[in-house]
Amino acid sequence: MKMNNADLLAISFLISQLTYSIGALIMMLPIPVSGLKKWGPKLIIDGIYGVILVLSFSLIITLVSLIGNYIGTNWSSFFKWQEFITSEMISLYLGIKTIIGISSSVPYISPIVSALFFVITSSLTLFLTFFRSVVALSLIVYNSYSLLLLLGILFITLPFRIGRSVGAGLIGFSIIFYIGLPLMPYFVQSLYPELPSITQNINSSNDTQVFIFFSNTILPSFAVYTVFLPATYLGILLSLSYGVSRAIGGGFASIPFPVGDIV
Amino acid sequence: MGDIIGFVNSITKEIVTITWAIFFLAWAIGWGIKGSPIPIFRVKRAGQNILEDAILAAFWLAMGATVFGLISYLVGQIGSNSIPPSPSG
Repeated sequence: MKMNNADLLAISFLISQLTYSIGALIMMLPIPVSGLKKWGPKLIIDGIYGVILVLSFSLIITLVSLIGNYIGTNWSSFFKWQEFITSEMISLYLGIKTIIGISSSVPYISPIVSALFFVITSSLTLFLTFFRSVVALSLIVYNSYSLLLLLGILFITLPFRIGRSVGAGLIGFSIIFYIGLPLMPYFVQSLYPELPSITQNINSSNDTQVFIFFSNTILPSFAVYTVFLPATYLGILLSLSYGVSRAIGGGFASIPFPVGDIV
Repeated sequence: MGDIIGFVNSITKEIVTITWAIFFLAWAIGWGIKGSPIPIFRVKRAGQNILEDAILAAFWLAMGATVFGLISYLVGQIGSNSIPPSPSG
């Protein structure tokens, strides 16, 4: 069962109508239980809010792309940047493997060199895994941004606010990450302008010097460049997403405007 | 996909039907309590509240059906098939 955007919008619209009708039903019940009857106006408001979100879908998409253009979001340059960083890490990894391979011909030095450089290769593998995870996340955001937005709207329209927090979270996440994730290279490069050159020292004849250079310069640089700064940036984006989701969905038990004033 | 839309549509339709039935019930109960020969103000006030709630809810239900139906109609006229006809509209 394949659903496109229009189908999801149609379902969200109908669920909003269902929420609205349930609200009217509860409001009409001839049962003088105020705790139950308070849900009537709330659900009516939720239904209206859901329809507004459904009808604003195109507007949100347009606004996001406008804001993105205005602040310089460029996905292709982001993907080029991550390809460059990945290739740097892979070439560094292969360089270290080459050093280990060369030193393996020396009988007594080989185990020591292997043990020393194992730390560096393990760390590099860890950094590369984290960095590729960020790239995988960015691919999900890039390819499924409108789907995430639609799912968020769908969850918000569910009756009795059962999906309000997760729906608002999805909307906030998709909007903020679609605009903000491609700006990660600017953030990283502004705080850490460039990676140190690898090739100038990798050909040194002294393995100890190479190891010291790697452990003191290259490894910390890559840690900062591919793990700490991207993780910090993701944290900033997550907190912004939380702020947007609070603005869209309200707190866990309230919505952004007074509910009881409708009647 | 059509199953989900049909399912939600049918539930909405049933709820709207039930709501109108409850309106008449609430109308009868409200007037029954309000007009009963019981000289207790609180009881009469409860009947009055039931009537007020029923009228207000009926107004919102009618408004909702109109607005939702209008949106479905307009979206259909504009050319997108994304929103199917409203069940109560």
